[in-house]
Amino acid sequence: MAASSRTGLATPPIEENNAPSFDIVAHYTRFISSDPSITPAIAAIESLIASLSASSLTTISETLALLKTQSNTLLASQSNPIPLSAGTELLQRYIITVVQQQPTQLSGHDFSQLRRQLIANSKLFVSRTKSARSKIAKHALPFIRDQSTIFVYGSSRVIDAVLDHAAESRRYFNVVFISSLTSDPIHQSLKRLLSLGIPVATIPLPALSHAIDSLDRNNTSNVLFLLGAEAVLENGAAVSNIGSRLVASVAKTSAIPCYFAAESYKFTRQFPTSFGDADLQAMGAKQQVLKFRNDLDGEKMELQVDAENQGRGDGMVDITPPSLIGGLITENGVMTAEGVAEELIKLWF
Amino acid sequence: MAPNDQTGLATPPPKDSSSNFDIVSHYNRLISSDPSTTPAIAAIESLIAILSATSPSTITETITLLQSASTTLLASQSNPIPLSAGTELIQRYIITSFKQQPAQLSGHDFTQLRRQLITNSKLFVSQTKSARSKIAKHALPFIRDDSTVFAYGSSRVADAILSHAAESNRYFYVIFITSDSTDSNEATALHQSTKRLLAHGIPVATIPFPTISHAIASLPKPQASNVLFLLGAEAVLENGAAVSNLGSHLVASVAKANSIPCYFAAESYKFTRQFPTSFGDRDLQRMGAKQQVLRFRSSMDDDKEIEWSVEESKGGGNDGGVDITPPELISGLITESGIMTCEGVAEELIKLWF
Repeated sequence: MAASSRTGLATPPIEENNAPSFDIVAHYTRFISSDPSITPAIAAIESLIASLSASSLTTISETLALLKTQSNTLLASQSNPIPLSAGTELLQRYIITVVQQQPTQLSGHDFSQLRRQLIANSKLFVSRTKSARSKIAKHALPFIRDQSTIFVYGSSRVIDAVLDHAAESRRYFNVVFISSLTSDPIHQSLKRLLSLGIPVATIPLPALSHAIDSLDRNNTSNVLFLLGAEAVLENGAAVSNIGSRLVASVAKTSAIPCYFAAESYKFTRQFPTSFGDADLQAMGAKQQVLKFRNDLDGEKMELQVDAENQGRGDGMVDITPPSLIGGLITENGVMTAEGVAEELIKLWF
Repeated sequence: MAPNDQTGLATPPPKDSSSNFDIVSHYNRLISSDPSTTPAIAAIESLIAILSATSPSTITETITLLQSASTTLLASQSNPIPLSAGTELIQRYIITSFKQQPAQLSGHDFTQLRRQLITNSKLFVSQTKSARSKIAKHALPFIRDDSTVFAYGSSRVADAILSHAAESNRYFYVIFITSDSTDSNEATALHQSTKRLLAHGIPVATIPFPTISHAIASLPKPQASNVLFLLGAEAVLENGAAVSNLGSHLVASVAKANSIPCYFAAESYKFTRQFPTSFGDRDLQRMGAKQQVLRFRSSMDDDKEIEWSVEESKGGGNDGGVDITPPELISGLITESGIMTCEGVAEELIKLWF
C-alpha cells in the first residue's frame, strides 16, 4: 500500500501483517446490519476503532496513516459516503487532538497504553453519541405544542424518538406521515403513535400541497415539519433522503416552519457551493438523478422508474439549503443553520 | 327521480323511456372504448345519446330530461368535476337554442328542432376533438430551442404539445416526472411519449416525484435559465384554478419557488362555472368529488386500515386522485382559443355562456 502518497507524510509502509487482513468494509456492513439503532457515522467510527484494535502499530504516524487509509477504503466502498465521512473525520480529529497532548517521543510501553486509552475513550464516545437521540427528543419537546400538527417525511429514528417522547409527555398533537418510497418503517411508527393515543394520517408525497390546504383553519397556525438528516454540511445545509428538499420547499412556500433533527456527530466539514447532483458527486456520492438519454437503447427502454433502484429513489439523497431550514435540533440544543459552523469549530478545536 | 325538487320547476315526470337508457354505462363505454376522448366530451356525447334515444316532445321535457340525466351521471362518478364542465355546456347550448325559437312549437317543428340540436351537438363534439392540435400550435412559441420542459401526469394535451414542437424541429429537453401511482395505462403512455420524442432527437429524462427540487438544482448551467413546467388540466375553475392529477399543486408550487413558469394546457370546454373558496379536500367535496386525502385515524383499527394505499384517495378519471392548483401558481393557460391568464378565464366563460 502506498500510504506515503495518500497521507503526504514520509511514513514507513504499513506492515504486511497489519493492513490487508482487516476488512473494514465487511466490518462496517456487519455493524450496520446487526444493530438497528446504529447510524452510518457511528458504524464508521466503530469500524475504525476495531481496525485500530486489530492492528499492532507502534508509532503515532503509523496509527494516523492506518486510520486515513482505512477511512478512504471505507468511504470509497459506499455509494453515499457523506454520512460516514462525518464519523471518520470526527474520530481522526479526536485521535489527533489526544495525540497532540502527548510528548513527541513515546516509549513503546507508553504508546501501547495510549493506544488502549484511545480505544477505550473512543468506545465511550460512541456510547455517549448513542444516547444523543433522547437528548434531542427533550430539546424538541417545546416545539410540539398541544393541538399542533406535525408533518413528518421518511423514516427517521431520531424523529420517532422525538414523537414518542412528546406523546409520552402527554402532549396532544396530530401527526401526518408523508410516505416516501418504503412504507414499512412508517407502518411501525404509525402503530406506535396510535397506541399512544396520537391521531395519525398518511399521505403520499404528491398530495402534500393539497393536504396543507385541507387542514382545519384553526390548526394552520400550529403546524410544523420535522425531518431527520443523515449529515449536516458546514453551512448548515442538510443531507437527507430524497424528497426532503421538496418537502422543505413546500413548507417555506406555505410559511410553515421546517426543522431538521440530527446528532452533532453528523456535522461534517464539507461546504457545498450549490445543491445539486454535481455537488453530491463532489462530496463522493455516486448519485445522478438527472440522466438524459438521447436514443433508444434497443428494447431496454423500460420505464426508467424500474431501473437500478435509482428510478424509485431508494437510497438517494438530496441537499436542503440552509435558507429552507428553520432550525437544527441537536443533542446540544437547537441552533440555526449559521450556528453549525460555530458548533463545528467547537467540536474540532 | 324527483326532478321537481332538483329543478325548482313544476314539471311533469320524464317519460318512461328515459329510465330505460342507462346513461352511466353509456358514459363508461365511451370512456373505455375511445382513447382520445375526455370525461367532458364523453359526458356531452352521453347526453346527446339520451336525447336521441328518448323522444321528449316539448322544450320543458327536454330540459328536465337533460338535467336529471346529468345529475345521475355526475352522482355516479367519484370525481364529477370534469364531467360537469361538459354537462353544463351542452345544457347551456340547448337552452340557448330553444330561446331562439317561438314559445309554442308544433310537434313536427319540435321533432325537426330536436334533430337539428343533435346534429349540431355532434358537430360541436368533433370540433372539440381537434382542439388538441390547435393548443399545440399556440404552445409552440413557449418551447424555445434549448429549453427544458418538465412534464407531470400523463396529459394527452401536453403530449400533443411536445410532439408538435419536436416535429417542428425545435431542439429541447424533456423531463418526465413520474409518481408511485403511475398505473399501467399511464406507464404505457409515458413509454410511447418517450419513444416518440427520442425518435425526433429530443433528449428525455425520467425522474421520480421526490427528486423534483433536486433535479431543478442539478440542471447544468446553460439549461438552468431556460426552464418551464407543462401540465394538463382536467377542468378549469371560474377563477382560473386548475383541477389536475394529485401532485400538480405541489409541482406548480415548486416551480414558483424556483421562479420557473408553470403553464396548464386545457381545451376551453373544460372551463366550468365553479368557484372554489380555497383549495383543499373540502372544496373538492363541495364540487362533488368523493375524495379525502387527509384522514386522521385515532385508534388501532384493523391492520387493513393502517395500510396506506392509493385507493384511499381515489379520484375519478385519475386513479391517484386530483388536486386544485390556485391561480397565483399558474403562469398561463394554453387553450385552443389562445393563451390566457387566469383572470381571462372568467371572461372566456361569459363568452361561452351568454
